[in-house]
Amino acid sequence: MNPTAYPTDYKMWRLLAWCGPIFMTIFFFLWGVLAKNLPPAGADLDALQITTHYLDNRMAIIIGMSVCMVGGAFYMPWGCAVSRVMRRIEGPDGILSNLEMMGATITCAPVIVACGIWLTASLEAPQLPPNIVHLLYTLGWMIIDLAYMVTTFQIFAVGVVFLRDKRAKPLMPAWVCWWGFVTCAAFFPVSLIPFFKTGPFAFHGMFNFWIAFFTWYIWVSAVSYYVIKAIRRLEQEDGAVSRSTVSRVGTALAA
Amino acid sequence: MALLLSPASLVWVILMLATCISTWWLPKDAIPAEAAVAFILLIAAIKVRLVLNHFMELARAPLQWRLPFEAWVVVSTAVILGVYLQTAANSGAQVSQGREPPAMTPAVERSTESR
Amino acid sequence: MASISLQTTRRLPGEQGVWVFIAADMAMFGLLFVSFMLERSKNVELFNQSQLALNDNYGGINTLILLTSSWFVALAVQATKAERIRLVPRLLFLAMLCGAAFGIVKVVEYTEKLSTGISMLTNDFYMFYFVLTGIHFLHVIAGTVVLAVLWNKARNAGYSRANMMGLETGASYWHMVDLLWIMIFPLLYLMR
Repeated sequence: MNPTAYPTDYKMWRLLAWCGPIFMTIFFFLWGVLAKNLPPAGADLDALQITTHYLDNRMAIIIGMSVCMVGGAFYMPWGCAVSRVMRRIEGPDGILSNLEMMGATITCAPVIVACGIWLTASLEAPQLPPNIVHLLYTLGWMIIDLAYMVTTFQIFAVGVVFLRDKRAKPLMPAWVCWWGFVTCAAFFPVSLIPFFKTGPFAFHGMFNFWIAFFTWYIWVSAVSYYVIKAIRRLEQEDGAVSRSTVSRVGTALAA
Repeated sequence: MALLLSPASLVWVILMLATCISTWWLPKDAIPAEAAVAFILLIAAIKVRLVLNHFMELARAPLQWRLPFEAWVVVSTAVILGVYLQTAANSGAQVSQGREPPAMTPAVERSTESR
Repeated sequence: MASISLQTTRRLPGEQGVWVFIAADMAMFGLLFVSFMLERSKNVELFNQSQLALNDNYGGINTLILLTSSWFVALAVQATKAERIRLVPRLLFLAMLCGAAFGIVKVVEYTEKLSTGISMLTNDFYMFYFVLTGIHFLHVIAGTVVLAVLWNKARNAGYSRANMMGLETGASYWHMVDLLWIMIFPLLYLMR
């Protein structure tokens, strides 16, 4: 790989890697806190209770969800930055690096769509029949939760590639990759959410909300941290390589 | 065969015996339920420790790895046993106060509303 | 000059990363156990009554099957360390057979329940029964696949005393699957 043929824009690369932490910050504060999803209104609430929830928090949810529809997009550039680091291990056209980038991109879809649905529910709540508001609420959850597999592929790709890193000091510690596999495992029981309105496997339940989301959050944080570090390290390594190339060429010319 | 006479085989025999005792002997009605279940849970905890320390070789692992797993056994057994005994005491108290325990028919589940 | 340690060096068998996975998996199941106990405390009669429909024999036999499979796997690891390479694939294959046997008993058991009209939607006890044993069953299936991969490599003399990281990693995961069932079985089947 010749770093000087098409010069790498390390600053831009790092900026895109920071989109991961930006994504998480936006979602924690605007989806979690402002739009009242920590904890979320339960699957066991009836139509009237959900409508009241929207009417009581109408403006907060409208603003929160609107910003989240923008914030959701930040997962995509983050995926690109991660993918580019993976290519340094897998090769320029690595298939898992491609899969990771596509997985990160398509993950934006259920997130953005669900937030759009919840935003609409809040916007229209004053004039909709309560059972329609309840429908929109449930619809958002089914979409954001049940599509987990697109993210699972992304996480899987990251784990496998970084575990294959042959460097003496790997770009990503093994525990992060394995935590990714933990997250993948935690996602599968999420498929139970249509069947339970109470208990740990409802969409607001101990397992399918708290464990599923937070294992993923920890993974995004850890991967972001090590990818940002890796980009700095690759910049230094590339710089050392091109300096030694220049000096070899210079020595050869001078001889 | 020397391999068959290894410590792993002794552990296996103990585990199999403990399982038979827990499954087919202790649950017999001769022993009061709370005592039987307490023994069953403690036996389960010992079995888990045997698997962790001997099959998974945690006994020879660095302490910082061994301790969290030992703690898991202690905490989960203690919590399960604790809640079990507390629950048994509560429902015993309800009966002795003449209050009927909750109906025995399966509850009409709110979760089935979606069907 | 190298110093000679009088004590065996402490080590974790297999890749350290799999132990992160094992710890997290056990933590999640631990939380589910507590969740089960708390739910049970709100509904003791229902839980005790519903439990009567469970067949202790299936559960007990499955425990014996998994314990035996763990024994085979432990022996396979020991055989590799003792360089008795020809034994390793045979032991792993026996462990795989145990995994398959567990699966057969599980399917028979589930089918029996479902045919009497009991499903995970019937009540909270059966929700925990089907979901806890179901998630565990998925772990068993994944573990049997892992054993198959190990067996395939062992068949080609892929493991030796100097090269057994993958074997120990897979073995550690399999033992976790075993120990989880050791807790799940009394919780669901024997607690009354």
